Amino acid sequence: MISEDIDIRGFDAVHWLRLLSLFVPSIREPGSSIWSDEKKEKIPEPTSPGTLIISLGFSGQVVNAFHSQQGLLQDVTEADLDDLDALANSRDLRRIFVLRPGALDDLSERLVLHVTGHEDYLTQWLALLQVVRDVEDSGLLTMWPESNRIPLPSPEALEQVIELLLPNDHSALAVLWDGETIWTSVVVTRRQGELTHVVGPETLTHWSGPLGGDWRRDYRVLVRAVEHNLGPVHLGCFGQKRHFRKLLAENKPGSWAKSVATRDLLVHPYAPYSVVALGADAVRGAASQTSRFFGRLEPLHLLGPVANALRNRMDRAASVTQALGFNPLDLLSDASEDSP
Amino acid sequence: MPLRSGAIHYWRLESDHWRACLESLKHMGFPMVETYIPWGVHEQADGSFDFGDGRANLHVRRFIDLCEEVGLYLFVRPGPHINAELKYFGLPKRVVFDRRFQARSPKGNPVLLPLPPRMFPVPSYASDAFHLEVGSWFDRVGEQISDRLYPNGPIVLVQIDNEASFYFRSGVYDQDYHPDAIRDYLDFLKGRYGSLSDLNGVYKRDWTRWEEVRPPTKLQSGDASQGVVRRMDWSAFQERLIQDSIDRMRGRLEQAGVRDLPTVHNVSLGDGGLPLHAPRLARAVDLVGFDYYHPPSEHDVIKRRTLYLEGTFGFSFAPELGAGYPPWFHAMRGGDSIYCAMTAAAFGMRAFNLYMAVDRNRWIGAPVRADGTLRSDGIAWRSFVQACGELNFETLDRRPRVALVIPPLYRRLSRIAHMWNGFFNPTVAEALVGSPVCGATTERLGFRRRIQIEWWTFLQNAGQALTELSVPYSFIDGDAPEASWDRYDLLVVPTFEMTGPNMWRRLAHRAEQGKRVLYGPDDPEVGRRLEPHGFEVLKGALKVPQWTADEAKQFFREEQERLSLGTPVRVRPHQVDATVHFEGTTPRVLFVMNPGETSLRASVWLHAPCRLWDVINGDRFEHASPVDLPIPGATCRMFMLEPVSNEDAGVRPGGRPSARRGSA
Repeated sequence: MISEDIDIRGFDAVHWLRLLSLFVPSIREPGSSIWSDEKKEKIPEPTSPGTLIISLGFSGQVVNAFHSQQGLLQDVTEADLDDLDALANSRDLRRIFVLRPGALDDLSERLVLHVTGHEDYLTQWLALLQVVRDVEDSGLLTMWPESNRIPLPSPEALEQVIELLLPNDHSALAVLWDGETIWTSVVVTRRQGELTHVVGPETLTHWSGPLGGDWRRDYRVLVRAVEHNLGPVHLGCFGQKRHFRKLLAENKPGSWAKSVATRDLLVHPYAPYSVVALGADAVRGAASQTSRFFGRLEPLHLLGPVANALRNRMDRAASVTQALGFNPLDLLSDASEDSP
Repeated sequence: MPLRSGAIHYWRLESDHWRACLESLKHMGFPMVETYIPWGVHEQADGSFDFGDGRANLHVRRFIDLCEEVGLYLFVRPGPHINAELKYFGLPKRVVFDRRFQARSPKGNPVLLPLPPRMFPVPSYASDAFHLEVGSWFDRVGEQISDRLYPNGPIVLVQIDNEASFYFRSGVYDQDYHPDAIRDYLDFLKGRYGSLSDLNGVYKRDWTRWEEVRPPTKLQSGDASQGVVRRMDWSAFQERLIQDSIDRMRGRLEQAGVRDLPTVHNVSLGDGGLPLHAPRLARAVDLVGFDYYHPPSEHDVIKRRTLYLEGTFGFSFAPELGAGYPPWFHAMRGGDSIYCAMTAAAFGMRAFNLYMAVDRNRWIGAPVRADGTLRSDGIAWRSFVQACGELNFETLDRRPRVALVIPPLYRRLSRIAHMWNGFFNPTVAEALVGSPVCGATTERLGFRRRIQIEWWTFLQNAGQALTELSVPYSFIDGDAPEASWDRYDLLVVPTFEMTGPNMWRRLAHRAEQGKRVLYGPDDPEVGRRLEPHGFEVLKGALKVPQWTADEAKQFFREEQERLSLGTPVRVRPHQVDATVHFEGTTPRVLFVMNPGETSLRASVWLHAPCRLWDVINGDRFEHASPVDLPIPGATCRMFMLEPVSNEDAGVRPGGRPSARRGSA
């Protein structure tokens, strides 16, 4: 799934951070002002809640409490273990791990029974996640919040989903502009069943040569550059960064479909599932609009045949959400909720 | 020749671009270039070696020749392990998967390193078979480079292995239980204790044969003190194992013809939690350095690590001074790397290798692109490197007179008291929050105090107090070479009931020489085997409590007066830090650091009146008391100083002061 020779190049620090800032709330876009234009107030530094690791001794006593941002805490007691919700709230924690003696030793020793080193990295991580669950089931590890028990996908299932999203020997790219300048971009390529390339804007523009500055024209040049250097493009997504961030943050039903319709967002070429995702988004949008007029009437079922027809025609693509258990567009939007 | 180089990975670039990249480095002011020589890249799947016959960009000799042609010296790092974000850390796949070579867990399993692009089982530093294989690789390296060593070529410096920290699986009970390691461990114990009965006496065991002796595999909760001794011996053995392994590799490289050059080893992040000991490592190589990849929020960590190197060895070197980072690393802004570099320089880093100077696969943020062109980030780097050259920065001195002593025994105790094994070990924990004690058990381990935590608190508070008083200081390892102690007039050492007798003897010797010692909070009573020991009284020493930073300040104010400890620079507000570097007694460079995110104005009082000239942006400030300096957030400013009394020494009107000046 991920090549051990994966080539990651063409990013300088600014472009890389911009890319990450789209999806990781705690990363601020480089160069962004810490001052709010409207209120002249300082925008709070994006922070991530910390993680607390509590180690217990053989008698169940707390022998160490390590906070990922603050280091050693010396005031965590056995009484705190009775109410991890309260502990998390009082310390602004995102996660708590309670380790009993031998938990991590057990984890390390179990992992090597499943991971030899020959597997691809995603497969290795799936094995690690399963081993963590096994250690949890053995009682040596307690996690807060409780881990969801959705079965982990098998490597084969995950590979099928990846194939669906990005077929073998194809690339996908996303390019965002800020006015006439490329703000950031990423190209990912899959060959022989593995992710082999992750390419940034420096390399992409080296391939394309000079651009005109009109993104609604330049995107075709970029697609051709990727095709020439890496092979066929399965999906391209292009737009202005401000608009894209808004879409991610708002997650309003219908907003993605509308953006494509108004060419504020260009998708080229269309991957089948993107059609369905946009179609589903359109359906959601329509439903949310019409329900305001019809009160409690739920008109979605009126549009059901349309959605069904779309799904039936694109049955492979429809299984993306089914296989993953979530709508990728929703997930992206949720992840960006806290972005400044 | 100053030790300043920039890293290029020749095998990751098109060979047609080598010249442009090398010339870029030269233009930036580097006299030297550094490269790894990757075993796993040159060795092909069929066991043959490609040194350029197949792929042009593997032609290492051509690369070496080009370095010489461009006028650059060369620092080579042939491994065997190099990391470099390569699969298997640059080792051939067949080596990594050969069971004979693999490190072993307590249950005899391979030990996995979980980093991308693929988890893999790590080699054993003890494995004789692995060392034999390494020897074959070194022979190949020797064939390529042994006739290009200075003065017959540009190669002037060699690194042995890379970040020998057990491949970041550095938990004390993670590894190594390989049969060859167990054999060496028994030899180590025999050397330390002599007889099995003596060992049993100390460990409170009843082993009847040496073959029955097994290393510890975990810290038992409520471990009595004797269990602590056994575990500290195991940790000490690991330090010896790595030292011997590096020594072995150095010898084998010499045997391959790569000899008569200074040798180096680099210590990774999280150094406080590592199973290696810098002074011990310095017995195997000529120069030990630290690798730096810190954002501004880790200002105190940058400071501590550099002060430790400066204090312990009298010379602070960064074999990898981060310019950028791997894509799976904590993401940093472009300015963060240069903040780290300049701050390290501020606290005494005199030599460095910029890693990476030239961009390549799996790297973000190098100042020079893979085609040799300079990125916009590169301008500041160029100014910094050129300024170091103009100032002969490697010859300057901060002139600290106070040393905070790090007892190796306590560091070892913290390591064996660490509560986690596996992937979340002392090295990782320290790299996250900058403390080698944060993962230690809070149990008393049979002592009156929690030594494994409190020694660090003692030193932290001392450092904070000295910083607030603007008194320059260093950290010094308790095992530092003798010559390193000479410059200090005040030694501050955490002391508890268990204390290393060797270190105490050293302190006693210094006290006899008239050095002032502050120790505490306890008097020493027992040595590292918990045997009662007659620790001599330190002449003229003062016992201090387990102090807070404010309490420590009281003590240091008195010492300031007693010893006439100068304050070459004071700065406000308190968030800002500052250092001055001297050429003889003349102040030559000022650093002012703002690690916070908010811009502010600093007030700087210099002991000697000077004009200031920013080496990066050229801003000039006339002498004032205080000088009012704007400092953006996450910025270190570096100023050339011109003492006002040198006004007639040749400065052009409105021009830049000359860097090469005589003393006032």
